[in-house]
Parts: sequence; structure tokens; C-alpha cells
Amino acid sequence: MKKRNNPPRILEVFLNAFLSPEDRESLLGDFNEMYDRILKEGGVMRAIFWYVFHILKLVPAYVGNKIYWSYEMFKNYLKIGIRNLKKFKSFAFINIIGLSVGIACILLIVLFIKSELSYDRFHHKLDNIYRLSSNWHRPDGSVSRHGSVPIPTGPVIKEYFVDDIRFFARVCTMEFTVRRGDILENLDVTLTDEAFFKLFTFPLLDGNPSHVLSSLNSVVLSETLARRYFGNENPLGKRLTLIMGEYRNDFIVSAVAKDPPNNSSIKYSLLININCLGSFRREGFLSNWDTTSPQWQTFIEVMDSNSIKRITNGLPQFTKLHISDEDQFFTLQRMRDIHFDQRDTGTPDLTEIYILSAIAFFILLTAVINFMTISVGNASYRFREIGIRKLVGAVRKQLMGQFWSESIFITAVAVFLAVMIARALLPVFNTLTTKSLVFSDILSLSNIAVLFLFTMIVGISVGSYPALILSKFKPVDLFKGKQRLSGKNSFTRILVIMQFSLSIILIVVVIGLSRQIRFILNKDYGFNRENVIIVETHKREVESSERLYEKFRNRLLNQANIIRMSSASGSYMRAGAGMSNFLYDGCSYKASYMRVNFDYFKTMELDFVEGRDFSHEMSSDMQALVVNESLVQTLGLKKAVGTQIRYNSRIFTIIGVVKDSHIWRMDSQIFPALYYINPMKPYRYVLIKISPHHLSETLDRIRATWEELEPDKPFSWSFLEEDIESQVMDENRWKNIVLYSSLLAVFVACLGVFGLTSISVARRVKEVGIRKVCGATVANVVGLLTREFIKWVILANVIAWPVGWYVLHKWLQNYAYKISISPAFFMIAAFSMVSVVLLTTSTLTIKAALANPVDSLRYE
Amino acid sequence: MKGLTRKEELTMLSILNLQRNAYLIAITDHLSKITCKKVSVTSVHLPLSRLEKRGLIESEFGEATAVRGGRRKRIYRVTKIGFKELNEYKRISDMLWTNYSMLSVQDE
Repeated sequence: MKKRNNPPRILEVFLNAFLSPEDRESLLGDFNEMYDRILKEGGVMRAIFWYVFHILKLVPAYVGNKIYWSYEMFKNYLKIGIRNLKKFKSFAFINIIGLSVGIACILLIVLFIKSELSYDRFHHKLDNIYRLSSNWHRPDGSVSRHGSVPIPTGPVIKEYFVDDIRFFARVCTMEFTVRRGDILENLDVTLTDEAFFKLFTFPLLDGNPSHVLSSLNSVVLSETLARRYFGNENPLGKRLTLIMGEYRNDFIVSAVAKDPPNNSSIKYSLLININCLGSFRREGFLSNWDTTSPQWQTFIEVMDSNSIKRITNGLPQFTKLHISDEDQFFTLQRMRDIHFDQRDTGTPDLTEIYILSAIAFFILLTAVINFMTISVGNASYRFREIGIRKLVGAVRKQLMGQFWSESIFITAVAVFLAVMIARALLPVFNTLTTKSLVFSDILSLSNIAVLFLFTMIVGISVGSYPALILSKFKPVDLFKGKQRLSGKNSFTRILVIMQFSLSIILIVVVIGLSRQIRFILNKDYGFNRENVIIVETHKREVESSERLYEKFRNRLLNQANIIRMSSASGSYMRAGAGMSNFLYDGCSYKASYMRVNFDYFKTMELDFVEGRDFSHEMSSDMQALVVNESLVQTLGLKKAVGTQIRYNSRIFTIIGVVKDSHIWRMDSQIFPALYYINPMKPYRYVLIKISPHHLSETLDRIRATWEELEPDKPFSWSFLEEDIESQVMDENRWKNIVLYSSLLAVFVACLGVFGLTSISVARRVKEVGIRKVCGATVANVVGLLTREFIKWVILANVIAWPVGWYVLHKWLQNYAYKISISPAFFMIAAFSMVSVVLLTTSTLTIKAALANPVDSLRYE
Repeated sequence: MKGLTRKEELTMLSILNLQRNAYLIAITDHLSKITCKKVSVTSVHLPLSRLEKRGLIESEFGEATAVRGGRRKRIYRVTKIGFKELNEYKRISDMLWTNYSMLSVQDE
């Protein structure tokens, strides 16, 4: 039998694709025959060559044809698409604005998340850097942790694990007064170790990273600070003076470092070697194993991944050697994790990222849903177009292409608008998230690529309804008007109810947040916060602070409008918070303590329940205590006055009991507290009670007096009320975030409601006309048209209330003192949602209701 | 009406010659044999589709053979209009040849 020589299958497939359907069969046959002939004459290679050559000859014409016709069709789609946009202007507006608001939210969130996730990633040795943190077993079994260890740990642990730790660097911030020429300012100075610049990737403008901090009197400035202090001069080798309390020391600039990036957890402007604290008479600081503070961090660089195991295993032993508190132990924390450890840094944590992205995603989802519901509702207007296209020969794929290119086009417009909106909202967003994002971040190349992809995804998803469903219908049904969109009602209903629910949840949360904030601010703190000024003394030494206080007091007290003065070791929301142990009856108790001066209780207007205040006349008052009611209760004392307590290895006698008050913060329970007078230690704050009249004059006088007494020290002061308000900063921020999100969510939801109403009004024109003819009033008709939406809102409330309650409940658990969640929150949210929906729909429904039935019915 | 090119005329004449077997490759072979020149398949396919579009020839599917991978041939046939057109061309060139031969006779 004659052997058949068929050309390779793959080539036939190619050829097949290029040929027009009617020529396909015969030409393929002809090609086969020729191939066979050439093969017999000249061999396989020639035959294949001939075959391929002819395929290639077909390509240019084929491609040209394709492009030409796609372009022609695209022109048509674009034209029809734009005509449709023009014809239904309000829908186009709703779709585009809704989408762009949603996309703008997503844009901002992506920007935010990108910046969050990039934190500290610039360190070359990131994976080998660890932070030591202290942990405490709490009595209830939980563990409290903060990212700090006692100051001496650094060098000691380096010696202990000498083979496993390459470098260590302590990073402590402490406030110094800096003097350079005429500039005198208080500055957070970073105290660190020599290895700082070797451990972290903070580039130096000049100078050798290994040596710049090796001398005890060298200082490294950040670029910004160097410019501020030295202008265009070369700062290297110049001097500046650091002042702390009575002590001052000159430092020589050894290098200038680039400013720390925005996404660095470690910030610095001025760095000195921590060991220079000796020159400020703070040697004790360097050997104090008892204290940790969030401002003192210790970082180590491990040799390799095996070291980390050895260190982890050796840490308990190491801790035992140096720490007497059995509840305390050390752990290692990866550098890449520390940004998200909110307990230390106070920066937005992962939860915040999740919540923000969920909200943004929902707003976008709402917009997408609106788009889809509107295209469902509006689809009947396009039945004829689809029918004609199908008759003329459009296949389903083409119709899908058309609808999708339409929706992608709209999405592209929306994305463009969204970039504009995001740009406009960026400042607000920055305040809300305490970030400093810049607009150019949005327009990076990778973002543009992502935006493009995003446009495609959103475009395809919003256009999926018309593309998939509408393209399916048979032309005959479309023309006959037989085609009904079945099942769309439940779909639309679910979508709209979801939008309403989200808005209501957000509103409930906003109400709850602002109530709690008001509650915190207006609560009775136990003292009178009004018109009390807190002045920081900047004094670390007893004698000078006492003298300063006496001078200050003598000059001010005889002036008008200054009512009372005192001083204390701490103040509300400021430094000085501390817990300490005391002994009573052989048992140890914990209490917060505060050193106060005479007149403290009068200045703060803290009322005595029992006993008396400290008095100048009684020299024994140096051994006396004033305690609060909680302490009396804790100890179960029947008669507190006269009871003796052992504290700081001395015996104190209780002379008075004051009412409970929040002396540090509101978010925890009131602890037992003791107040004592100890002139042997400096008082950090001066409290001045002034009269509310002539405030600015009084303030000026206090400032003048300060400057006269302490020309070297800046006058830093605040109202006690301001300090109290500062504690709700975080809450306020959250309130604003949720407030803005809820506004956006409500806005986008309203757009959707507006669109749906206008569709249903248009659909029911005739029904309304007939009803009016039969005697329906305007109110009846409006009720008829809105009833459905109101039903939806009510259903949405039912869904949203439990969620809102749960969110609020969870959040309120952070507070020791909190509001109770009242039904009023939910009623307000429901009421406002209903009224917003009524307002949105009212223009349309009232117009429909007022229309003359003649107009709507004359065609029948 | 547009006229015929030489190629088109020859293609149509080949179809007439081949009778019931006038498909692309047979036409090509026939043309090469008659003209003693190599004729490529492509150069025949083009006039064929042009002529078909103009209605001078028509086509139908013929038998399939193994060497064609089981695909049917497209057999061409000259339509009435096409035949008329060809005759017209033949009449004109015959007339011209006749005239010429009469002139040559006179010269002699």
C-alpha cells in the first residue's frame, strides 16, 4: 500500500488557524498533496521547509486583518459605550464616582500597608539582629512583656555569650538640653554603643562606622540636625554642649549620618556614646539592674542561626545570675517583628492594618455591587441592542468582549479619578494614621503596573453580570420583551442589605467610640484638673530643684491670680509613674507612689477622708504618709491614721487618707497609692493653680519669672487638662478613621440606593400613573416607592446590631472604666440610616409622585 | 465589466481542459505543463478566488483521497457567464489573428 506522507500535525494546526473557514478543508488537502509530492521529489526537509514558508507568508495578512477588524469593532464598542454613558448620565456618575471612591480607599490602604511592611527592612543584617526584651509572669498566669532590658545587660551579655554575639548596641533616648551658639533647645538624644553604625544600616555621610562613637565626647548628628546647627559649614570637629541638670559637657562632632528613613523603628537626631553618662554624674544609671523603660532598648547581632539557639537556651541561666526578681525573664525578639509590637512603639499594629483594609475592601465591594445592581436594573434598555447585534451575527464571545471592554473603560476612568482623590485625601489620611506618606509613592512604576492589573480585575468583575448573563439571551426573546431577569431581586436585595449593614456597623462604632472618649475626659478623676499648670523643672539634683522651687514659689505666690503652688515627682500622663512594694504586718503589698511637696493636695483639690495634710510645722512629717482609700481597703484597716508601714526600708506613719484618684492613667484600675514627702530627691514638676481670669497675662508672668530664674532652661509647661486630653489621642484617631470610613461607606451606599430608586421609579411610572388616577395621594406613592428600601434598612439593622455590639464590646474590654453600651447607639444609627436613605430617594420619589398621570399614561 | 488578465484566462481555460478534475493542484500542474514553466500553487489560488468572487467560476467539493489526509478537493467549474466571457476573449483574439494573417497574405 502506498505510504501516506502527512505533514507534521503541529504545522497543520498552525495553518488551520490562519485559513478562513470556508477554504479550510480543500486548501489543507491541497497542501497535503503538495507536501507529499515535494517530499517524494526532494525529501522531508524540503517539504517541511516549503510548508513552513507558506505558513509564514500567510502571517502578515492574517495579523493585519485581525488588527483592522478588532479596531473597527472596538471603535463601535467605544462609541456605543460612550453613548450609553451619556444617555444614562446619573448612572454613569454613580458608577464612576462610587468606584473611584472605593479604589481611592484601596490605594491609600495599599500605600499604608506597603510602608508598614517595609519597616526596618533596609538593615542589611536584619535577620541577625535581635532585641532583648523583658518578660514578667503576672499573678494571673499571663506574661507581660516589653522590649527593654536593664541598661547593664548589653555589655554583660556580650561577655557571657562571647562566641555567639558579634556586636551589641543599646539604644536609649534621654532628654538633654543642647546648646550650640544661640540655639538652646531640649532634644531627645540617643545614647548608644560604639557598634551602632556597624550593627544597623544607617549610612554615614563621612566617617568610619567603627570609630565615630568610640570616643566618649564625640557626637554624631543627623543630616537635618547638622544643617540646623551648622548651616553650610562643615560640622566635623565643631563643638556643641549637652546639658543635663547641673552638668554640662562639650562634645565634638565626629560624623554626620543620613537621617533615619521614615520606615525605621529607630529614630535619632543626635547620638552619643552611652558611657559618657559619667560626665553627667549618672554612673548609677549604667549599673542599675532594677529598672527597665521602653526608651532603653538593647540590640544584639548574632553570629549565625546556630548562635540564636544557644543564646535562647542560655538566657534563663544568664537571667538568674543578674536578676533577683524571680518573675522576670529575658527573651529575644526578631528585629523584623519589632515594628508590629505595639506595646513598645505605639505604632499601628497588624490589627489596625487588617481593620483598615477590611473597611477599604468593603467600600470598594459596595461600589462594585452598585455597578452590578445598576447594570442589572438598566439591562432592559440594552435588550434591543443585544438583539440586533446577535441578529447581525455577533457571537456570545463578542458580546462578552463588548460588555467587558465597556466596564474596563469605566473602571479606567474611575482609577484615574481615584488617583486624584487619593492625592486629595492623603493629608487627612496621614493625620489619621500618623504616617508621612507622599503622593509620589502612589505613582511608582510597580504601582502603575499594579493599578493596571487592578483596573482589569475590577473592570472584569463589575462587568461580569452583563457579560455573562445578558450575552446569553436569545434575540427573539429580547425583541418580544419576553426576557425577564429572573432571580435578580434576591440578589440585589442581599447586596443592598450588605451595604446598609456595613454603614450601620460603622456608625454604631463611631457613636460608641466618641461616647467612650467623652466618658474618659469627663470622668471624675478625684482631683480638680481645672486651671492647673504643670511646669517641668528639668532638675535632677535635689538641692537645685528645691532652691528653684522655693524661688519660683516666693516670686509667684504673692502675685495676683496665682492661687496655690506645689511640686511632685510625677504628674498625670507624664513621667514618674511607678509601682513599689511596701511591707505591712509582715506582708508585702504593691502600691503606686508619688513624692509630693507641701500643699500638693490643696493644689490638686484632693479631699481628705480622714486625718490631715503634710504640715511645715511637724518635722516628723518626713516620716509620714498620706494614702488613698484603696490602700486602706486593701490592708483592711479600721483606723488608718497612725498605722505604720515599712517602705524603702524605713518606717512611715499614715497621717491622712485622701479620696481615690487617678494619678497616672485612666485605663487601669485605681491602685493603692501612697504619697510622701522626701526633700532628698528632686521634684520633677511644679504645679500651679491659677485663677481663670486674665489667663494669658498670668501665663506671661510665670514665663517671665521662669526665664529670669533659669535662663539656661526652656520653659516647658502644659495645662493639666491638656495632659488629660492627650491620653485619648489614640482613641480620637480611631474615632476619626471610623468616622471617615463610615462617611465614605454611607456615601457609596447612598449612590447605590439612588441608582436603584431611579431604576425602580422608571420601571413603575405607569403603575404610579394608574394609582394616582385611582386616587392615591402623593404620600401614598412616596411610601410605595420607598417602602422596600425602608424594609431593607430595617433588615440591615437586625444584621448590623449584633456585629456592632460585638465590636464595641471587644474594644471596651481594654478599659477599666467604660461606658455601658446603650440601645440608644443602635437607635441613633438606625434612625440616621433611615433618614439618609429617605433623603437620598426623596427627590426621585417625590418627583415621580408629583408627576401628572397624563404624561405617564398617554401612550396606552 | 472588468476584463480578464492573461493569468485568469489561462486558469479558466485549464479548468475547461481538465473537465471534472479541475482542483487547485491539478490546475497548477496543467498550467506548468502547457506553459513549460514552473507555476506555484499560490499564484493559481489567487486568480481562482478572484474569479469565484466575480462569479465566472464556481466550485463544489469532490472526492477525498488518502494523500490529501482525507480532505475533499474543491473542484472548479466555469459558469455560463464565465464561458461567455472566455468566448468573448477568444472572439476578439481570433478576429485580430485573422486580420493579421490576411495582411500577411497580402504582403506576400
